Amino acid sequence: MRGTATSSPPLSRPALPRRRGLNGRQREALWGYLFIAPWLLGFLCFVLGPMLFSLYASFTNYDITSRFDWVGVQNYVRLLTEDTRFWRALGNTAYYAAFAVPLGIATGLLIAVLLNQEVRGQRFFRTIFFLPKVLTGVAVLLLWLWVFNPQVGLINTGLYRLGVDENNLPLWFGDPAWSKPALIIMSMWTAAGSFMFYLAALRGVPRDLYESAQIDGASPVRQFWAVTVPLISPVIFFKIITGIAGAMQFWSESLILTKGGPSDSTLFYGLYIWQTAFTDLRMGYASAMAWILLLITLLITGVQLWLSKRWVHYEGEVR
Amino acid sequence: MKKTLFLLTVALLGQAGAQAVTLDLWAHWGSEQRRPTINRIIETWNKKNPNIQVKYTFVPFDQLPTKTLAAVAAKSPPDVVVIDIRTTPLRAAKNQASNLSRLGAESLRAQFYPNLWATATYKGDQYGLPFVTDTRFLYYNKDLFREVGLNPNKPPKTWEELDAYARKLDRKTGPVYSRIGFHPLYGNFGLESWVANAGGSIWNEDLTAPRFTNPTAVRTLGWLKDWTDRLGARNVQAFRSSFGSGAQDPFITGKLGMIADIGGYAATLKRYAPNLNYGMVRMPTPTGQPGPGTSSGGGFNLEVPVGSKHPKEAYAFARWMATEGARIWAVEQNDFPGAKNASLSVTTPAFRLMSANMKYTLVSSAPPLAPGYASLLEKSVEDAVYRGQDARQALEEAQTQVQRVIDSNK
Repeated sequence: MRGTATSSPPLSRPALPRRRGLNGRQREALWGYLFIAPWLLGFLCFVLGPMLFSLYASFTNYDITSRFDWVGVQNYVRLLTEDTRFWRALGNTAYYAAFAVPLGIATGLLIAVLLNQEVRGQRFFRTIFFLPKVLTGVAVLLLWLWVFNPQVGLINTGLYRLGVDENNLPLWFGDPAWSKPALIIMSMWTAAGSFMFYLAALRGVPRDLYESAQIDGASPVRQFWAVTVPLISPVIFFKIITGIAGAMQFWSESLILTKGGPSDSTLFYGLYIWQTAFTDLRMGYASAMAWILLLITLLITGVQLWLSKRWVHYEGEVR
Repeated sequence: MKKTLFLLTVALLGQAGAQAVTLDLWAHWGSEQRRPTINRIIETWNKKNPNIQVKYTFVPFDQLPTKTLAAVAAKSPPDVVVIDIRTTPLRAAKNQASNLSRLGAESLRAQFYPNLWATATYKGDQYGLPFVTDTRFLYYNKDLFREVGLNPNKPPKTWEELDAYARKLDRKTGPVYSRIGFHPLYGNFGLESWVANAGGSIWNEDLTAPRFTNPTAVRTLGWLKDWTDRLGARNVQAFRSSFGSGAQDPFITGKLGMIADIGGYAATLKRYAPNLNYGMVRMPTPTGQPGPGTSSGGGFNLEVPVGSKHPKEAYAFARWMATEGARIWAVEQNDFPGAKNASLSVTTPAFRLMSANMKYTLVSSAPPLAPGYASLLEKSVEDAVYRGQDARQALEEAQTQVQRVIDSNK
């Protein structure tokens, strides 16, 4: 795999004109590709391949084991025209993303600002706030089930002590109106663990900017909006993009906690895809759903990228 | 010449016999309670059959169906799998479970309870062997019966009595219930079971068309709704969320006077509340007379996935596992086996009750064209029972959705 590179001639002689072989840049490129080959192979075999397969499958009635016939755009037409649950799932997912992403960013940023203060025990707090990133899985979800338990849970017990009437306490996962807010509150907890990103960015904001702002008489709040946010905007932007993509694919929690209930209120897009693929064995239909989700996510990301020109500032950028 | 042929055959057979075959068995038993028994069953088989060795792999319960499906699709499935009893026809229709009739399964029919045998029958052929099942009973607290002036030796037989007894058992402290006599959706009995209990079905005979809006189904959902309305939908839901498990089980702590649950629940009660004075009786029906769907059950079948390298040996093991293996399982685990003989080797009172209850137990299958119908049906139950939607309308909506899935799956 060394290509046809000839060894470079000694410097004392004039270089012979080379017709074949590689010049320095090409050689460098080849080595570069060689180094990323393991990843590239993995990507081609395990990501791009299956993606293209699922694209093809979305135009068939594929059920994994017994049929694989071409049905044209039928799956897509059915999804968009007949399937009320598809729209329900899309609506639930949009609702979740609309709240969980901005609130998650606000939470992470707020905690980062707090942990950026010079106080005693700062390291201890940073460790504590990082815990949500370390603790995951079903055990944590079961704890949340207890937190949201209408009768004996932490939240409702607290609200009851604060004087909320017994009959006005939310039923959380038992009530379609409260099930998604409960999941959004849960997501805040995970979002808190991502304060590290913002903290790293905050550390990179030059002190002298704050000093100049203070001399100009800017209040701390004004400083935050005029200095901090613009300077860490690339990180916020990054978290928006990844946050939206993540929120669109949020569903495993609903599988474990609510199975999509009550009354389909937590039937998220991913959960519906999963049920369609592995319970109903309609893999072709599920593939079509997955591709629609990809298109939606790409579209949103595209819009975000276009909007970002207005508010994201990269260092060293001349405007 | 004949002699030479015979000798040659013997030699070949000997050759084949000397080749030991290893079979892969997948099941969801990995817990401290289950593991020793499955290990014992396999050791017993392996000792007897040096040429067919079985290797056991534990696959977590929720992953087993998808893992099996993926393995079948990848053409390297396990040879035998213990899998959900309700979806064997689906796997038969989708060419995932092997046709065991071709391997001689028909001759085993008489050894199994007919309603369980039927769970693995698809278009007249057999695609699995029943391993274990369960059947549901009404459990009632005798001490609480006495406390409210009910005769503890006269449990409810009809829906009417169930309702009257439950009202007597209800207790309120101020505005909230501290005890609820009975609620049809607490415990282990859903709408579909209650419809069968009332002598109806939400599917046509061969599971190809939903009949969610038939009069019995609508009436039954209406009944569940009335029951909830009387207690208050909010109370019913909030009360349920205070239920714990183990020693905090609502029936053990006296929060519920009566509950519908599986036969194995008796073992749970014995473990956590050995002194609880309770009765275990057949589920009440609208008329008081039992029928084929009075109780309902689930469980597991043994299947040989399509693509097994050794289908004959796999079938031989599955046959032994469903009969002799099930006997060991029943004795040690108290699960009710699908094989009649295996069920007779356990003589506890609970087991005798289960055995007698089998002919009144419906073990239904999921329709192959809409295996995921349950989540759609569940939504209609929730909408009607907890959110005030009209029962017929809720069922109509679910039926429309299910019909759509069926049409697109044809």
